[in-house]
Amino acid sequence: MKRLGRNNRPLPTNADMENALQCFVEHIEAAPTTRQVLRQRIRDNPRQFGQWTAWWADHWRPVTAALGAAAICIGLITVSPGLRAAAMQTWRFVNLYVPGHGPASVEPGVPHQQVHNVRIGPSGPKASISAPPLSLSVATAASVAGFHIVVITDPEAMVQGAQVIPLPANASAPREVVITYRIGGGSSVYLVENQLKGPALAVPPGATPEHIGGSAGWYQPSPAGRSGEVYWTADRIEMRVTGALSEDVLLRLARSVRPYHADA
Amino acid sequence: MDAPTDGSLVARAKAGDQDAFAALYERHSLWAAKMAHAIIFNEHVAEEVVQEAFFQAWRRLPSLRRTDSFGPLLHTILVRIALRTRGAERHTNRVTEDKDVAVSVAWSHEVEERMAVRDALARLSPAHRAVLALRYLQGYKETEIARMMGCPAGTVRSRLFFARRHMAEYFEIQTAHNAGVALR
Repeated sequence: MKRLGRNNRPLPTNADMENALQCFVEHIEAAPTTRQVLRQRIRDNPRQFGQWTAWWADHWRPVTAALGAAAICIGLITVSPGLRAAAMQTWRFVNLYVPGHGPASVEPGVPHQQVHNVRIGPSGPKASISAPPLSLSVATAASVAGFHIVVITDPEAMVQGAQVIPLPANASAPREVVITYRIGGGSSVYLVENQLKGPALAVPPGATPEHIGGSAGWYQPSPAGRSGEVYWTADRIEMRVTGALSEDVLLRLARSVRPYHADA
Repeated sequence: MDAPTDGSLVARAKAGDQDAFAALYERHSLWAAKMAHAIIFNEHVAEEVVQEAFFQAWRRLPSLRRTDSFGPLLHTILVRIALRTRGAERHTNRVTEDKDVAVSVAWSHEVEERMAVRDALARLSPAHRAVLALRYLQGYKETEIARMMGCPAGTVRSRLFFARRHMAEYFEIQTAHNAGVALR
């Protein structure tokens, strides 16, 4: 049964519609001038020019949508501190370069056991990661963009282990950094040579855990307004530094640990 | 010898053969003009639309993957240009529906019927007329029309239904008229 219109009027059949439209356009003919004008336009417009516009005509919708979505995301991340922080957490990596092995990366919060090697690059501190055994002689590295400090101990100093220490977002803000050096088996004498201006931290050459004893500390304010403490126990040296510490200062501080050989 | 297919002509035109494109024009221009006229209702503007549609099709040839789909490509471009042209120029009244074109034509039953269809179509929007033209002049399916016009298939179905319901009035008048002629 044929569907009815709103006024119970039967809808025309497809054949009726075809006949009506054919009747309407029956007398229409192609304009003879169109071909000439078209030919001239094609001659005047090399297709190379049209390829881009044709591609754009076909793809402007998805391209515009993608650009718009990206702009909205960037805008939201820019204006929202929470989103920005989340994005930074996601995107900021500790960049690690393994000499001879190409780049690698470790996300913030990576367990320190996975970080093995360290390299100080010419452009700043770079932590490296590689499979054991440890092969680099660089003592330690401070990294990365005020987000984490990666401290790797120097295998030459027979110190093993590392710490990943979270830092406040503002690198110039006062903060406390604890660098712990675990003493390898058989070593007993260490020298902490401070490369900062002025004596901030020092352990007397030849000092041993027995000299300082147990968890006894040693403290001396530095001229630069920093303060530091060294705790020396039977199995580790813990250097605690407080102050406005730049990455550079932290780096130099961390690198200042050198082994001291009693027989040297 | 068989006439070359659209696919072979498109392949040659893509390679820069303007004669092949001219052959495509000869093959498709008449129905393109009919469609444009059915949508635009102004023969001069319809001519411009046809010309622009072919020109755009020429430009898009390099990105045409299926060489046998020149017809759908041309019709898609034509319908979109026609709707855009009409929509853009509606406010400036540049597009005027030349309702008096047929007045100078010798009066006949055929002309009378054509004018009746024209009056019925004139009360539809260009978008409705475009759907009718694609469906009943070119025989495209509703889903194909939706893809060509860039709208959902449901919209095409509703436009078709609305247009047919609207045309039902015309057919009713025609039926009554024919009955009257027969009685005389």
